[in-house]
Amino acid sequence: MTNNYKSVVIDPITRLEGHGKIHIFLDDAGNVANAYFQVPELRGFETFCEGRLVEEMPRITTRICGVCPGAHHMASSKALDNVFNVDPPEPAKKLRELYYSAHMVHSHIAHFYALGGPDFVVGPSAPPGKRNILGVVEAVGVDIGTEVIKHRSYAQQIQAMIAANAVLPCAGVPGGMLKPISEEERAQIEEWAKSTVEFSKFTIKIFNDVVLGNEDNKALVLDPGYYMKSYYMGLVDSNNHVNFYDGQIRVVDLEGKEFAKFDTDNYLDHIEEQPLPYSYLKAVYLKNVGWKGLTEGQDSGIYRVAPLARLNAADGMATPLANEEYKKMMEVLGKPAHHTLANHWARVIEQLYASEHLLELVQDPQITSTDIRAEPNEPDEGVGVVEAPRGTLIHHYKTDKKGVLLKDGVNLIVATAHNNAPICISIKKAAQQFVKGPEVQEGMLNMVEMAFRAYDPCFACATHSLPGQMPLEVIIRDVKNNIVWRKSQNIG
Amino acid sequence: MDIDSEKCLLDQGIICLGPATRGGCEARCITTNYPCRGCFGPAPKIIDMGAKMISVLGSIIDEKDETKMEQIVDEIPDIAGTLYEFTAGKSVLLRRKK
Repeated sequence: MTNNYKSVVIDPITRLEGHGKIHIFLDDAGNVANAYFQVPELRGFETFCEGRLVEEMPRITTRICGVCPGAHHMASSKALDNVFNVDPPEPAKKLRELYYSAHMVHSHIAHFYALGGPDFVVGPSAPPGKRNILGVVEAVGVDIGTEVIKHRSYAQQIQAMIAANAVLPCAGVPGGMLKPISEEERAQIEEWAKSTVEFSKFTIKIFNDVVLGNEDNKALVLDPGYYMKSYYMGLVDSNNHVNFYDGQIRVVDLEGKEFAKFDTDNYLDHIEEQPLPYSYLKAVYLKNVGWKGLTEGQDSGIYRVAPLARLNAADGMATPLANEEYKKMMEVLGKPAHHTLANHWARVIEQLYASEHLLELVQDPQITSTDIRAEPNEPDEGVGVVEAPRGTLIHHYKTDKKGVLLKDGVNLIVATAHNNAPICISIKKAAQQFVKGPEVQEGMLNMVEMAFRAYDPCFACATHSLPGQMPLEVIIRDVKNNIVWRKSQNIG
Repeated sequence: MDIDSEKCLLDQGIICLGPATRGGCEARCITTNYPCRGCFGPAPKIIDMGAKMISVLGSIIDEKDETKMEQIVDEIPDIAGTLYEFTAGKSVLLRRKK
């Protein structure tokens, strides 16, 4: 039967981390019969880590991705605490969380302004050459563009201060952290954090103006093509508030009722992996509901992670401004919110939470303490879980008595694996809603890409490409601010 | 153990690839207290990072007796993985006959 289908391939898909591919099959009438989402890369980290010393893992696993090395570094450091049966001192946990809040700020800014935002700010059907960060800067103005880059840079510099290098972090060890921050560094971080809170408030305003304040964009967020009911998962603190660094894993069902809440060590009692025949990326599902294939509904064990899922799985945010925004969002969308594109909304709320939390932590009297490391004990087995910017991230290691990783002793479940099955479903629904043949327009395909882009998927490396011709203007000024050289291309 | 952040990590018994690596990472071993694994690759003129590190370790292991030397080396698990953590792909170790 499939022989009669005309097929459309989107390869490479853009504005994501890593490589992916979408295959859309049209029937004779030109409607979408089926759509598949494939991850055609295989890297094999779990296998080549076997036999390595477990304490090397916070450095090896950061090489999985250049966008979210901080998330791997933290999950790995937490797993090491458990492998070596040691509980880090309170100031060490706060220092890690300070680092991690900055990491979330940097990643969420990058996604909203550079990856996801162009679809709303410049428009889903705008020419591909405009649908990128430079198109956004052109639309919102250079001054705002400067603020975006400045605050993302603050977040990166805070990470570099604590972990030596923003992209290649060297900080976490079993039982804590290796280097405290000085009072000077603390004061600098505080100044940046204050500015970042203001910037995050401004980001919420931009989201309100550009997305919710624009009828077309608001209609897109609410469009049935981007609506999918599923279970949701996220880490929560003891008040059931969203937490990125620590807590229990909570799962809510399609109606928003708590389905499960468990310690991270017990994750294998609740989720299971399922290979998909056409992709290198496995799907993950809730064991106690069951795998029913790529289907929606209360009986299908498919669940989602990432910003919207975290907000759905929690009862609120731990900081005041973010919690206000949380309430507003849930009032408009209902809880749980099943609108996939509302991930962008949840992401800017999380950016505000991370900024507020960053400021809280840097003002904590313990934050410059030098009591940041406890002695490790004999190694065995341990699990470390954090909420990566893109969703729940699980590291699980098993070692011998010398701390050498055993065969099958490494299990890594990354956010995009949890989201693999839902992304497949979301893409098919969006394709059926927006793609009409036989003449398929580029804009239609971008609307399919928007379905995966909302999840901010990370296909395990930092490459992403800008489609079309990049609009670019280079101006060189001398010390007196006179323009001495200017070259521009594709500026409208 | 407590780490003296003023002193070379190798002198404190911690394996560190600092002597054989290219700098530029802004995370130098003694400023971070984190032993280097050479992710920026070998320093200029070094063909094989692990081999260079073996000669570094040889010069600081203060032992003349061969059996005892072996015992000391045996205390280091996964020595190849550690000395070639980021450079195995270009190492002499993995060189194949053509």
